[in-house]
Amino acid sequence: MIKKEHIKTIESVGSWEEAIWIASEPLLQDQSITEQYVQKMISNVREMGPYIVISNDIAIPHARPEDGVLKTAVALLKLKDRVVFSPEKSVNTILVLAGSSNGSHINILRDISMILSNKENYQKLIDADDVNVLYTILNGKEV
Amino acid sequence: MEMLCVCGLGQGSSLILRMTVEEVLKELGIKANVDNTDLSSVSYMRADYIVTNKVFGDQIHNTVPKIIVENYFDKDEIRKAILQHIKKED
Repeated sequence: MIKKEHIKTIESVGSWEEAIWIASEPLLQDQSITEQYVQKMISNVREMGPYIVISNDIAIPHARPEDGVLKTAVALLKLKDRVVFSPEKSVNTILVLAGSSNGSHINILRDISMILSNKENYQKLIDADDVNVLYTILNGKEV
Repeated sequence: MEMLCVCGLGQGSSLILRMTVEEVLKELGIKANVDNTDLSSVSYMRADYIVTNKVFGDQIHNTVPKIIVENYFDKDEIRKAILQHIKKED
């Protein structure tokens, strides 16, 4: 589901916008997405509020395939210090979703939902700060 | 019964919520059609219940009962919230 080189860990960021940019860097580098896609993920949140925060710990920034996805990909950024999206919402895990079609977007969501609806997996992902461990959790293998 | 899961874009978060809601309803033996959509389309869609988080719930101004949840992966939280609104049907 995710490539190891798309996973990053970092101490802290200045803002949620910066978190989305940093999380997206590997996808920009290997040309999975365009800069416009990143801008769209950010402007969507500015317009509609932090709808991408889907639990107490995780945000899933995404936009539509036509906003600038060249190749389907997922990127992960783990933060040591939580980043604040709104007074009630802060997270330490950013999962950038880039589906090149609606179908592949839905497949990514289904995979994420399957892995993280398992409480043990969820907790492991929230606690982990090692790229190899994170990679193993998201690819559905035992650590 | 129609249940509508709502988020900002109607494509990502609400779909994850929908998957968890569907699983919980199956476990509870409650029969319902579950759909997902974005905030701007809510008023055009028929629903007996809306499932969403507080931020969006506050922005939806209709008479449909709202089931408010914050953790879209958390089956326990979602089960509890659903059962507060819906009596288990035999």
